[in-house]
Amino acid sequence: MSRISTTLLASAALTFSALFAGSTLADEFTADDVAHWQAQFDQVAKEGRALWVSPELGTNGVVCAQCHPNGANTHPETYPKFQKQMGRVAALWEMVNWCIENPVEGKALAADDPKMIAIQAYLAWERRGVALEPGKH
Amino acid sequence: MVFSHSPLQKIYKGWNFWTDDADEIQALLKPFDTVNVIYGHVHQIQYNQIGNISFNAVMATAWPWPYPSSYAQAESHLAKLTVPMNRADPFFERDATGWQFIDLHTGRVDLRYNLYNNQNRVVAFNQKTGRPEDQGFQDPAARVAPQTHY
Repeated sequence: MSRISTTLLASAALTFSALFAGSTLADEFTADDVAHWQAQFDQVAKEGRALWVSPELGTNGVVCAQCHPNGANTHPETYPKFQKQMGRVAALWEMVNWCIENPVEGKALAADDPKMIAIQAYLAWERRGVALEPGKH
Repeated sequence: MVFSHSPLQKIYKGWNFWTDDADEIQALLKPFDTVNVIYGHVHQIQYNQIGNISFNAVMATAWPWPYPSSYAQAESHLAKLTVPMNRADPFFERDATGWQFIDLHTGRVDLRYNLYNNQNRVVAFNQKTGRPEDQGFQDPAARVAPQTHY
């Protein structure tokens, strides 16, 4: 028997026994995993906070927190919603970019830019506990 | 008549809408029949009546500042008397900024707010109720939707 087929056989046997032991269910995770994932979120939200109070997003020294201390008056729980100034339903990241381009006079970020994700994580964290109200004005 | 940058009341500490020794200051002002405090710092219409003391905030010519109620994690003690300004529309850079004429001739304070991108407002002392009141919006039924901050 070749080495490969021996390995395959051994793997099949292992899979078979594991299946019956019930230890390879897809959504198994531990308290340590949850703590790790939470720490990942907290870290990204913290990066968002750093961006929120930093002039690096723009060119004129203005920072997000000057109009939105603690992310106030951003109401992330209401997006996507009709933005009357744009005349259409917009997502939160689009409004973040509007602020980056206008009052802050910076360059818009891609929707999946880690900085954009971090900003949204920070806003959601500051708004924790508030019920979702999509479309609310 | 007291002019102060700080609100001389305790509204929300996190943004320094706050005066640590406000209670002591208010106690000092208590012996006087008529006291008016005009303060800045908050960049928004606020008014309150605590005993004999009327409080009125003045506008800023830059930097709209949100009401503490719009921060979900804040414990705000904004006076229930205050009818908030309309929420600032960021697409109008002067919205939620402005200035005011202050009329002191009665010994009380009437403020005529001149708001660049918004309907002007008047907050004047009402001798009958003994407190400052908005001349257009004090009645909850008269308020408009953009005054709701969340």
